Amino acid sequence: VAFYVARRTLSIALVLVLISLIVFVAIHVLPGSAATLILGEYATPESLRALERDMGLDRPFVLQYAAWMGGVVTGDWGYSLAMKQPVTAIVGLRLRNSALLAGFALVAVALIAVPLGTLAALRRGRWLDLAILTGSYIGISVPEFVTGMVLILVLAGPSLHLFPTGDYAPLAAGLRTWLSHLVLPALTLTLVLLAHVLRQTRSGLVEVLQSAYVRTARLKGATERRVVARHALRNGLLPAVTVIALDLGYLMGGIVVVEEVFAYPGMGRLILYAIQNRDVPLLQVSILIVAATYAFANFAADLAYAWLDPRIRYQ
Amino acid sequence: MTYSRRDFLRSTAIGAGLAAPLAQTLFGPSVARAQGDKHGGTLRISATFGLSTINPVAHISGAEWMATRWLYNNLTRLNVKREVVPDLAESWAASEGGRMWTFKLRRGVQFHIGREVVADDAVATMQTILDPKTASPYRGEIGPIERVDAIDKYTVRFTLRAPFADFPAMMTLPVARIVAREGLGDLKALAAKEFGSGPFRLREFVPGDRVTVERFPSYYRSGLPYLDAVTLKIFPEPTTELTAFKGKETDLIWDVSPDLFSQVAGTPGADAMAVPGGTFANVILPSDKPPFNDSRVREALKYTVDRTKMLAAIHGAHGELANDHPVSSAYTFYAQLPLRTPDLGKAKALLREAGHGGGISFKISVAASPPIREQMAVILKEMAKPAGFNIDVEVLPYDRYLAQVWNKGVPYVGFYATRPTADTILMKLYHPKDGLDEGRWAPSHAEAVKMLEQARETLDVAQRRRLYAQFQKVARDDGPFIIPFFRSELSGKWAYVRDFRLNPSNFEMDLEEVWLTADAPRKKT
Repeated sequence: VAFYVARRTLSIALVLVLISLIVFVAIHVLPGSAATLILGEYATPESLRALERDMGLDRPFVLQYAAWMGGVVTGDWGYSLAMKQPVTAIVGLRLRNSALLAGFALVAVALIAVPLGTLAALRRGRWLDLAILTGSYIGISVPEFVTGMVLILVLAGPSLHLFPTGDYAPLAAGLRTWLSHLVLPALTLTLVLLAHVLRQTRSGLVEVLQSAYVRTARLKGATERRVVARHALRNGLLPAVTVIALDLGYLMGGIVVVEEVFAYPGMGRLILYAIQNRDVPLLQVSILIVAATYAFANFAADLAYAWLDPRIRYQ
Repeated sequence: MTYSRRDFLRSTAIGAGLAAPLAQTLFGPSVARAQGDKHGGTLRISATFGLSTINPVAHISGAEWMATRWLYNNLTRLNVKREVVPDLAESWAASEGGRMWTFKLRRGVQFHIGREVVADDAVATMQTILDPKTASPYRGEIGPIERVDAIDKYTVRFTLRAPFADFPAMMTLPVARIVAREGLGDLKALAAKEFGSGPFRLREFVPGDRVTVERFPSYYRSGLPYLDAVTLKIFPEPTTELTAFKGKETDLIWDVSPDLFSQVAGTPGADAMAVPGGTFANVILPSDKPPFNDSRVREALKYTVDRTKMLAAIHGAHGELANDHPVSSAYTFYAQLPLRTPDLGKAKALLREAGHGGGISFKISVAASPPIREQMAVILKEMAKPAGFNIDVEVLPYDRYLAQVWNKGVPYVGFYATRPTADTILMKLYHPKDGLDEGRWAPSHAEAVKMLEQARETLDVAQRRRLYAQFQKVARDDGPFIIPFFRSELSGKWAYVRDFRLNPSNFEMDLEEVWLTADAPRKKT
């Protein structure tokens, strides 16, 4: 097992290096640089040259990448070109905020989707199954932009004003305030992700419920509750675990739209900012964090598989 | 249970209208002052983008300029009437015909770090900006400074390469905020720390998201500011920004679109603020090659524009009609010329004369932001069609526009904000060396460019007025730009925010005398 973990970690590291190279090339292919975007329509040839020299953008491409890589190896994650601060100082808060939002959304999704999916599987083909499936479809088929807007206009609008429209508050501002800012974005994400997990749970369970060993369990006289809880769920949940792991990656960086709509300072908004400003060092680190989250979440899901299903062995 | 005097007043005198007089007779003037007190509270402002850095030497966006206005002082400042008034400098005077400018500093002004502001700080700040290694984006804007010297503890002298009548106005620019010497050693640290003397000091800065500043008790204007704190928060999505404003999560919504503006205007208790300024979008017609090297073709296109309709369609009629030159009535040297009215017959005749009786086809490229660029190009296309202009409009992302279109000698739509003086915007637009000459017009109009140089180098106001008036006429009739209107700056606030005036340079947001009435949500913090 130790060998397996080491091999997976190594391959993840390799993937991350490849990603950093792709991002670096992609940004250089785009027209303009951080300097042209900062100076905009006030640029003069001299000011542009001076700023590019100051930012180190006048060096050849390979040297720029090598310098960045060298920094990373020695623990220096670089300076943001647009914010002019150490990348680590900027990323910390965003990472915490995204993790918080992701945590809330995932827990909510798991708590709602798994029981509902189980219920739908047990009532397969009946009206309750249909209602649950249709309901979850609405969540996933409406773009999160629209869901977020509707929630803002209805729940944060001047008439009801149950929650703030967005933004975030530190825990120091009080538990209520802190939580109130998280409700609407977390709710939006929950509505979007519900269908993924719910449908995986349902289909996984439906398959297992028809299997021979469940029939055996029923035949030996086990109660239906015991059959579902002890025998079926453990196997039926496997696909849902993978989906939850992938959702975690999505929540840590893919939720640009939700973070923009709710003016929530997280990783997604930071990545968008870095792209818009051609801020290569900031973009590199942000993308790598998200990519690493995806990779390690997947890895964790694989390990969880082994735990849920002792037949699975990794070499 | 403890029962405070305030609770007592609230419970006994509510609704009776007796609170103030009763308080005065019962407790004397101290409580009365607390009732109608201007002091205290947090003002929460929203904007939609910017706020990457608070380094005054390097910042570039309106939101950033706004924040450093609260943290720092300049030598001079531009008031809402667009007059240059004292700030850190109490007085100033020109010598050697405007080639030398001497500023006398106010005594006893404190930096937030607890030290007096002296001439050396101003000198060090200016030298940092001028140092090419600093790569300050707006270095070119502050004038042809040759050297800066501290004559004594409170006197700063600038020596310029050429006389420059508007120099004191350049000291109002955001790039010219005076930074304490201690802060200039590490310019990278200045991105998130402040070394100012302004009415507020920094409490929290989250780049790209928000800045919070708090009252500086030792500010040089004693008793000011009234506010305890100010927060500027970025809401990338305008609908969210508006909803937050309507729900009183923010008190002031800054720089809004005409759409949002009319929504603010329709909200009871909210004040929609529109202030005319000098912000415009211009269609650039490269005048060094066909077809626009023929001034008749340029003029023909200018005659197709129905300026009133265009302003109404793009900016909800909030603005001032313009005459194809960049000087609005917000500037001192604005010359009132007869306004060009649309005349398709004349446009057709001019085109025929120029040998284009069969019509002209060309392409205008526009950046996707701000939207006014595309709007203007598309409306121009329709308005010019009947006269024989066949315009193709191409929309590009901003980065591609900068790299491939901007200042490359092709037709496109530029966008310029209000500058401190007419000279700044005129030089930027028309001067081939100190500006960009995007219209490639200067080589064929050396006389006109000469007028601009003379006007900035003389201190004789009457002569300057004459020269600028002459130039505006030439630019209107012959110039390489179509400038249909100046759009007003639009913002909104709740009525409980008092004594707030919007500057035509809307980032010059002076909050020193702004206060909140007792019914503001964050009067008490």
